[in-house]
Amino acid sequence: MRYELYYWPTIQGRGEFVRLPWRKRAPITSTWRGEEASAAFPR
Amino acid sequence: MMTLIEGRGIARLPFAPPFLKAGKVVIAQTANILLYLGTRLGLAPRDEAGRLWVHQLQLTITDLVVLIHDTHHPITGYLYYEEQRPAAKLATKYFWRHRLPKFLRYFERVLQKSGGPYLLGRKLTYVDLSLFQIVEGLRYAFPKKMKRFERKVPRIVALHDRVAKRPRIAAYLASPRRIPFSQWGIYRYFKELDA
Repeated sequence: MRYELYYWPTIQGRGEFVRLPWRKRAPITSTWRGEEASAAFPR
Repeated sequence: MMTLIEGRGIARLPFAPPFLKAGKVVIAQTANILLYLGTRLGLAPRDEAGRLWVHQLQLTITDLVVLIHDTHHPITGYLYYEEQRPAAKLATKYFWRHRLPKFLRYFERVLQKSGGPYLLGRKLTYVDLSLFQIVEGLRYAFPKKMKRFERKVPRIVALHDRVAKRPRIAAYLASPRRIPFSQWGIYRYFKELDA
């Protein structure tokens, strides 16, 4: 399964509530199309 | 992203970010995304009652987030803060007098009933991370008020501290990947609102 999270890249916003749990473990492919690319979801 | 918001090529439109594209499925609304991801990330119970309980708590966080945002923009997001300052002062006054205590004391009671250290007991779930983020944001936006209030919710503060020490969370928070708080987000600092 390919996962892509879309969020505003310049503010924490509500996306932070999704980004935080992804910190804990990243067992699945996560990508972010845009300038933050690989930084958003390191495996 | 705008291609998806405008609905080109997808049947089920997201209203706004954040949204998750999982294969061909697009899932919007923060609590809904977390409901979907929870078990997949090992951050939610597998039984239905447990999943709904975490989701229920997350929806309560969603309500609180709206109230936090409305302290600085109580009339509309289409006006600058400076154009609604008197209303913001009034909204902030009642937020701290009634609404925030009601929400945080509720989470404090949930922690008391679960036995802690997390909202569901011994196992971390995604809503613990959201509650951590609420504390972080309130400390940014209302440092003085929050410092005074925290003694009333010791279990929430303990949860916050425990989450902050988790190795992967700590590494993330210390990294440039963590977007800093700013005057453009949900939580904004205005000295007169923290008086």
